[in-house]
Amino acid sequence: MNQAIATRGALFWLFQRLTGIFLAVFLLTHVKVLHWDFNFTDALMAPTGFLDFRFVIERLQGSMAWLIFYFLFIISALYHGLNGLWAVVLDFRPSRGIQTTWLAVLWGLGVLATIWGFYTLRSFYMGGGGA
Amino acid sequence: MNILKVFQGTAEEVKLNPNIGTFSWFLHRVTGLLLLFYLFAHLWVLGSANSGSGAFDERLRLVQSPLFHFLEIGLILVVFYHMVNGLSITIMDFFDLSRRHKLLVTLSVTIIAILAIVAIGVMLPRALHHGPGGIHAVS
Repeated sequence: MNQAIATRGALFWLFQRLTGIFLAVFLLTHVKVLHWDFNFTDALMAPTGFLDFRFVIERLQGSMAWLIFYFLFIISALYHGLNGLWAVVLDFRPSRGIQTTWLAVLWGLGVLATIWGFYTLRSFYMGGGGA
Repeated sequence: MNILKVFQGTAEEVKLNPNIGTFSWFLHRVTGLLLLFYLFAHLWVLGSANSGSGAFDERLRLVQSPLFHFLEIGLILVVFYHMVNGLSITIMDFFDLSRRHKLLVTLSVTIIAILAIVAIGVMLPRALHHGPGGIHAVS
């Protein structure tokens, strides 16, 4: 293994650990704000009886801080998940060709899901509907 | 890469090293794959906001039925296992504590059990709820 590959591998390993720590914080905050605090039997909080668009908007309050929070959350989750899947694939010692194909698929999925996630976030800040 | 050989290899790995480390590695892999699947499903559900608040409410109502609340209990267990085990691995890696692996696993299992009991205590009433809200999705 040459030095460049070893360094790249170490960086992926480090980012996997760091995004894991971020995700624990992001996830617990997200669950607290949008799920734990939600009382579906409270007629004022949940007039429809379930968690809805209005409740999400109320919680996010159009705040830039929440927008950044959720964008970082999405990126961290996608990196952590797709890099984890890459590690699982590597465990099975696939051929060079399969590795290249998988890497392209995972990158494609990651980029598309990031765009989709950002577009969805934008919809919440535009009051629904995306545009 | 023969897919059958891949699974045979994993089964042999577990058979050759039937210790707590192998099982926690295996479970970490499985829960990770489940969570990745859930992440994309979650993005799909939330993406309905792109078609307006009505579409979002409709899809969210669908995933807040008693059945989905039961499934959420499983999700919580998967999340807690992956999170606590992952943090335990990170602590071992960063602080060179691999010799304390068994102690860390014991601590992790205890934390997961406590978190799971609390989470189930919160989620079960929702799953069993038949009041104004909980039954909406199936009515």
